[in-house]
Parts: sequence; C-alpha cells; structure tokens
Amino acid sequence: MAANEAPVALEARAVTAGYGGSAVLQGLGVTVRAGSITGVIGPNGAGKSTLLKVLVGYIRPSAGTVHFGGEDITRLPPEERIRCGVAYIAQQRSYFPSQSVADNLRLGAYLVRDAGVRARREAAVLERFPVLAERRHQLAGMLSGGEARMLELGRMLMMAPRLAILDEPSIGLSPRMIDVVYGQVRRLREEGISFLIVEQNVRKLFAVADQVFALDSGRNRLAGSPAALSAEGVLAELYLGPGGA
Amino acid sequence: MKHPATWMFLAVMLAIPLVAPNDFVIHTLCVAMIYAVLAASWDFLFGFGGLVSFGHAGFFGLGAYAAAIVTHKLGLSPWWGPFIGAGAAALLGLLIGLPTLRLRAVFLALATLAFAESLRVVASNWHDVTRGTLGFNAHRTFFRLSGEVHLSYYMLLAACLALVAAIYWIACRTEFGLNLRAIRSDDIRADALGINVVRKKIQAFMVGGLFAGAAGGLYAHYVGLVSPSELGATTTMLVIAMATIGGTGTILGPAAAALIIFVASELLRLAGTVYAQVAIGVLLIAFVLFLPDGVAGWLQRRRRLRLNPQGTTDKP
Amino acid sequence: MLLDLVYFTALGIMTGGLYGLLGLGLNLIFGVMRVINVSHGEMLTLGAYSAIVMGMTPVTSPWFAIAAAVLVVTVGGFLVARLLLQPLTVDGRVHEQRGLVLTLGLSFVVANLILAIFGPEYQKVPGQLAQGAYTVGDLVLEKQRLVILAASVAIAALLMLFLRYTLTGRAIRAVGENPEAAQACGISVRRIHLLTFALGSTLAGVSGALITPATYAMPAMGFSYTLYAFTVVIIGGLGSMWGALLAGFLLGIAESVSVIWLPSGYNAIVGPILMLAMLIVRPQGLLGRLSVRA
Repeated sequence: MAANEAPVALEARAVTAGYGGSAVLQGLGVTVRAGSITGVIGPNGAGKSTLLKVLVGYIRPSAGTVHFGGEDITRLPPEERIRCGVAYIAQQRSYFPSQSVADNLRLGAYLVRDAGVRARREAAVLERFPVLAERRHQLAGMLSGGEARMLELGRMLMMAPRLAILDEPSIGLSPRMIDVVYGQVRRLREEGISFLIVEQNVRKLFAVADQVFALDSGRNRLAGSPAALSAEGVLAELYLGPGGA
Repeated sequence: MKHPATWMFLAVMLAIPLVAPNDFVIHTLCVAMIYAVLAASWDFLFGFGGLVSFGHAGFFGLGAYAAAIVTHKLGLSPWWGPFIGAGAAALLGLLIGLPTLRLRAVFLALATLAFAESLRVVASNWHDVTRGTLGFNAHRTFFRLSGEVHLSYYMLLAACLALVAAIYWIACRTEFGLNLRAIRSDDIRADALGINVVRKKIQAFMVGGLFAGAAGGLYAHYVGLVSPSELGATTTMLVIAMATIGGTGTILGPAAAALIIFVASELLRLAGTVYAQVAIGVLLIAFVLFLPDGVAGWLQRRRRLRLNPQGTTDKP
Repeated sequence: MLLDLVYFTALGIMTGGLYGLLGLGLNLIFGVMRVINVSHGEMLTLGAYSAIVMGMTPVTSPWFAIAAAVLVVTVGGFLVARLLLQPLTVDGRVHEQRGLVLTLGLSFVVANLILAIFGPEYQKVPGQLAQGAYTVGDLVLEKQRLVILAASVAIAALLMLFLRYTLTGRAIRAVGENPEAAQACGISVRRIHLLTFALGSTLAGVSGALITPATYAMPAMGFSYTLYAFTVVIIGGLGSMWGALLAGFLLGIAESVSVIWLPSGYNAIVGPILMLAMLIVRPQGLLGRLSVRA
C-alpha cells in the first residue's frame, strides 16, 4: 500500500492550544498514517513540543480535535490514550532514575494485567536490548545517555503500542548512538508500529521518515516527503525566515 | 488616597465611638486595628517580598513582650512601648533573615515557624522574666483602664492608620518596594539588574518585622496583658487568613479584611456560636480555591476590565 | 545519672517511633504531591477523637478504636485530596504556596470543629492497649508504650516494603519522581495523588488512635504534632523515608534526654532548635535528596 493511502493512525485537526492565555498552536493539523514514520520539524518556539503534549493529552486544546484510529480522543487523559495504544517518550528523562532498570520496565507494563504477558514482553525487550539485560538490577540513574534511550524504548514496548510519539530522540546522543536509536525505530516500524517523531537533527530524520510536517510559529508551513522538502531553499526559508540565509 | 471610599471609611471610623458607645464594640475595634497592622505587615513580606512568614506571631509577640518588659524594668513611659517592640522585632528579622534567606519558600516558612515556636517556649517557661503562662501584666498601659476608652480608641486609630499608611507607602511608593516586587517575580533577573537580592530580603524581613513588633507594642500597652498564646499558631493563622482573603500584594486589602474578619468573629462569638473560627477557616479555603487574589485582587481585576472592556491579552 | 540517661533514652525511643511515623506520612505526601500538609497533625487529632468516640460505645477494645480511626481518616483524607487539593494541582504537582495556605486553613477548620463538637476538655479513651510494665533492673518501661513503639515500627516497615516491592508502591514513587513519565506508563496521576494523601493521612490517624490510651487528647493537639512531623521531615530530609524514621528516633531521644539538663518545660524547645539548626546548616536534611535552594 502506498504511504499516503494507508489508513490514518493519529491525527490532529485545527488545533489551537497554549499555556496560560497565549496560544502557541494556532489551527495546526498533523496526520500520521499507519505503518509510517512521520516527522515534525521547525525552528525553536514553533510549537513542536506543545503539539506532542496535545497529542498525548497533557494539554487540552482550546479548539480542534485529536483522533486516534478514527476515534476522537480529545477528551481523554494521557493514561487513557496510553491504554488505547499510544506511547510517548518525552525529550528528557522519560524514566525513573531512582528505580532499577527492571522496575522501570515493569512500570511500563503498569496497565498489563496478565503476569504471563508481562513476563514475555520483558523477556522480549531484554533480548532486543542486551545492554538492558546486563544492567537489569542497576539503578536507571546510572545509565548513559544512549542506554537510557534504550530503556525508554523498552519501557514503551512493554505496552505493545500501535503508535509511538518521540520528542527529539537524538538529543544528547553521539552520532553512533543516534544511528542505533533510529535503527531500532526502523526495525520497530517493520514490526508494525507507527511513529511520530519531532527532531532537530533534520538529516537523520529525513533518512527514515516517509512524511514530514514543518511547523512555524504554531502553524503548518510545509508538508511532504523528505525528498520534496529537501528541494533547494525550502528548508532554509523555514529556519532562517523569508529572504533566506 | 483620593478615593471616596477612603474618606467614607475614615468618617465611619471616627464616628463610631460617638454613635455606638458600647465599650465592647470599641475594644473589639481597637484590637482589630492592631490586627490590621499585623496583616498589612505580613502582606508586605509575602505580597511584595515573596517571603512566607509562618512565624509572624513571633514578631508580634516579641514586640509585645519586649515593650512590656523593658518599659516595666526601666520605668519608662508606655509610649516608648511600640518603638521598643518595633526595634526588638526588627532585630529578630535580621536574626532570622541572615541564615535563612537562600532557602526555598517552604523552608523559609518552616524556619520562621521554628523561631516563633522557640520564642513561645521561652515565654512560657522563663517565669522570672515573663511570668510564664500566667502572662505579663506589670507594665503600664497607655491610659488608666477606666473612663478613657475613647481616648484609647482615637489614639490607636491614629497610630494604626499611620502604620498601615507607612507600610503602604514603603511598599508601593518607594524604590525599595519596587525592588522587592522585582525580586518577588524573578529574583534571578533582579540580581542581574544589580539589585542585591539577599540584602533587600533581609531588609524586607526587618521592615515587616518592625511593623509587626510595633503592633505588638501597641497591643501590650493597650490590653495590659501579654501571654505566650500571642506567640502561638492561632495568631499566625489568623493573620494569614486575613491577608489571603483581603488580597495579598495590596497592603490595604489585608488591613481592611483584618478589621472586618476580627470584628465579625468577635460578634459571632458574642452571639453564642462556637463556629466563628471554623467559619474563618472555611472562608480561607474558599478564597484559596476560588479567589486566590482575595477581595482586593478581584476588585482590581474588575476595575481593569471596566477600563478596558475588550479585555487584556491575559484571561482574567 | 547513667540510669537517667538510659531511662530517658528508652522513653525517647518509644516516642520517637511515633514521630517517625508522622514524618513518614508527611514525607510521602510531600514527596509525591509536593504539598506541605499543615493539617497533617489534624489527621492525628481526627484519629484520636474517632478512638474516643468508639470508646463511648459499648465496644471497649482499643483495636476497634484504631479501626474506626483508620476508616474516618482514610475517607477524610480522600475527600480533602479530591475536593480541595485536586483543583490546585497542575502538571502533577500541587501549587506550593496555595497548598500551604489551604492546608493551613483546613487545620484551622478541623481543630475548631473538634473544639466546637467535643469541647476544650482533655479526653481519654477508657481501657489500655496493654496493662502493666516491664521492669529491667531499676528501669520501669510501660508495656503500653512498648506496644506503641512496636506498632509504629511495624507500620513503618510495612509502608517501606509496600513502596519498594509492590507495583502500586512503585507507581507512587514514580509519580513523585516524574509525573509526566508516570502518565506515559499509563499511571493515573490523579488517582495516585488521592491514594497517597489518604495513605499519608491514615498514618497520622493511626498514630492518633494509638496514643489515646496512653495520653490525653484535646482539640488543639494536632498542631504540635504537625510541628513534630515537620521537624522530623526536615532533620531526616525531605523525600527520604529512612531519613524520617531515623530523625524520628533522634528527635524523640533528644527531646527526652534533654530533660536531664534543661529546666522543666524547656524540652519543648529542642524540636524547633534542631529544625532551625538543620535548616541553617544542611537544609536537605541528613538523608534528603530534593532541591532546597531558592
């Protein structure tokens, strides 16, 4: 199935949202198709993190809706959306440093009732990320940046999500680790998980994404495949303003 | 100051002893005015300095005891009392401020509480000097007890008005007050602007304490009895309730609220209900939940909306 | 002199267990919700008076009194968290200043309500947890106080085990540490807050029921226990469970032993002085981990 014919997994429609009285997002829309890796880019202050918070449910939009698998989830709190199959890894420290790696994973499976299912998923995660298996009983706070990202991914997989939302997964990582992380993302997409990724590292993102949305000042600016957006000048204008470099 | 309400208020306050010569009402108003100064001084610390004083009773009580004991021991006229009280409390402010000012609000609050509690224990047990829980009453009062109720009232009215006005002026009309407000909203930026944050905070503590101590001195020489309960938690709680309901950051709001609340609770108590204090607590909770800016804050917002009907960019 | 020291230390350990329990409850509430619960002591008062009310019924066993206290305080704590604290909660944390003032108002309300309903007289629960005393050499240790100590330690141990080894306990710690990530795990921060506050309050309520056979209850008792709880939390360190336990015993011993040297009545100053000293010298407490600088 061609990328833009796949059913819509997650969608934000005409979202207006912000903090206090000011609106950071103004009539924004984003679509993630099933089985795809969709990226979101934009200069600082464009509202990328705010968009993610609206999608996951930390912020209620003052206008607009969020749909997941066709259902309107705008009113649902984050924990309900997680239950529906949405996963989220925040920009920083999306885990619990004071607890062990194993306990972190178990918390990821908080909503899973069946102990057998939990055990199987934990085994699968540890197999996928051997470094976590090694450090099972260590405090998560001792992990390096890359290992922590693996933990976050592992934690996320304990819920067997259908769609994963990642906020700047490459932040603070060495180039090699970034490749490792995106390698995992690609593998997971093969296994059927859709991704929505906010990234500053445009190059790495473009290497994996099927579709990219570019935001500016809380509004949609551009959307298209990485190839289309890589066209000369288009991105420069986005990041440096009209008139270019 | 030019507001018509101010003049009406003054007129009412001046007229009361002539219109309602009930001694109880006048006495209640006298104590209420002292509480107004207390609430105003607390608001100075909190609304302008961002400093939560959980031990305000300590400033008040220390001022009261200092005034009473020193005037008694040195045989001074009671008119020295409020000044002695102010001085002692300012010193306490310095003492508290120096070691604790780098702490987060919550810890500062607890530190002031610990100070007040320590003072209370000392006051309760240092029988030689304070007569312990019996209370100290050897000092002279402003006027002989009988027959000069009206004089006391007008004197207190003048004194408390002056004190509240002074607090207001310092908070809202001096550079010091401006600096404090800058510190309160963003002390890192204030520091970058060249304001010596720590020194200003210590000064704020001293000023706030000073006025609370003056109120203590007034209290000591008006009521004639100072006991450790003045240093207790109830005093602090009442003051915080009054300030919150009146509207923190406005000085006059807390002062007015103090008057009304104290008089109302005394009247309720007289009417026989035991639930007056409960009502104050419930009121406080209601305000924190629904009107955290207090009455004054609510009035200010309404006035701003009326002046600017389209509404400002931030939602009310 | 040595005998005095040993006796007072023993006494201090026995009261210290209670202080530790109070500190644990306050720490739990603060660690998870970031609210300084000024009404913590009033939960103890509620527990104490529940026990007293039970004592007025034909049921005389103090254990039923404790059960009544647990029931009343758990429900009360739940209601407070749901109706009063939830509206003040943003991003998984309670508004610091407003929470402070609100719980202040709440403590005022509860203490005065109890005063209005029960009157200002000292009250006591008939019957005791245990009769008699142990005599060790020249030392006389009331059995009842030992029971209170044992109960406090047992409850504290249960709590720590719960937090360490159960999924819900770990979820509570998770919400305290990182509410956003906790929600990403599907944990309902709102529900955890309610549970935590009810749990912390119950700890205080149980303490109240435990002490009523041994000491008198009066409406204003709550505040001095709140003060003890604060002192314990500051000395032990905000956010540290072990710290609270340790500090509880330290405070109990210090306060008790100081009677030897201080004129009578002054030992009440030990707590505030220790709290002040800790705030000035090492505000994060002996074992604390949370940030304390402005």
